Amino acid sequence: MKKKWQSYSDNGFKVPDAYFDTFASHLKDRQQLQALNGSKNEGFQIPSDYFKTIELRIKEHTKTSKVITLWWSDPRAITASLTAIAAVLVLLLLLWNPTTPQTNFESISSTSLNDYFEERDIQEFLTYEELAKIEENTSIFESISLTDEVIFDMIDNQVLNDDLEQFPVK
Amino acid sequence: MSSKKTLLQEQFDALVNDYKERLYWHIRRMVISHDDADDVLQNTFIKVFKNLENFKGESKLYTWLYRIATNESLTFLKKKARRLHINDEQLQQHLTSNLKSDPYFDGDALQIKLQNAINSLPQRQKQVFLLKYYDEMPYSEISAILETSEGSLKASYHHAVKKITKYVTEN
Repeated sequence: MKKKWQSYSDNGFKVPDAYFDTFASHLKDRQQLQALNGSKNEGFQIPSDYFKTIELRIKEHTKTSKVITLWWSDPRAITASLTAIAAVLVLLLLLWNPTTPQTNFESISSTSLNDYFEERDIQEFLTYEELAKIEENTSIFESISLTDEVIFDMIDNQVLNDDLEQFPVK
Repeated sequence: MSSKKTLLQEQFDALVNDYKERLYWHIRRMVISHDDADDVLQNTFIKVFKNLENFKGESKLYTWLYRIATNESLTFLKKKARRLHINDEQLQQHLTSNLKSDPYFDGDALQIKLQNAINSLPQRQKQVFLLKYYDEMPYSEISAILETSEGSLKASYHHAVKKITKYVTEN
């Protein structure tokens, strides 16, 4: 006769096929595994007094270690970095102006150069040797075209007349 | 292997053979799922094997086995509740709420209702009811397993039957 405890399977509860037939074998596998896990000699070793001193070593470490704040986690560092970048950009914009004309000697007219040399007595600042050197090594003066107008202007110049007066034509 | 160990292993094998099914159903009624029952049953027998040498025969062998199986089941359920972050009452509801999707349960609505009724009982009343009703154990043996007086067990069983009947008829 079927016992009442066996009737539980009639209440809808089932077990996998051949569960009770294979149970003893599964149990043996688990026992062997547990025996291996329960073995006291696993091969791992630790230094002597390791667990006695670990607490002290952790405390020492936490006392001497400084907390280093990563710059990207510090809001003040982020603000400073952004300000520096903005300042550099503003400076670059101020220095670089594409509308500013590029000045070179070629673009200066010969009249302007003459005016410049007339207004300033360049000989006061440079020796004759220096002037001669500049004349030799630069093409600035080559670009000055001595037109008739320029020559007449020079003759009309009072200074030249004064010089000629000192050396009268015989 | 020494002859003493061999003898112990033979005794153990015989014991597993004799009690595996009976203890399985006792555990299954408490933990509900087959996988959990299988786990607890194996743990029970491993504990039995470790302590078999020290068993002095002061209590009946099967009373001793039942006590180990009951304690293993209760420990398992406590761990499960802790793992799921729920209390004992919520765990009982959780156990039966999964019955419909359990591949090893094919009971109908009435059987699910009966399980809900049994699992709505306080833990002690539930254990007394299961041992008395399904295992047909005398109160004296239940008393040895649960370590409670027979008078208290009788009262617990009486309350349990009333609550189950009420639950099944009202729901």
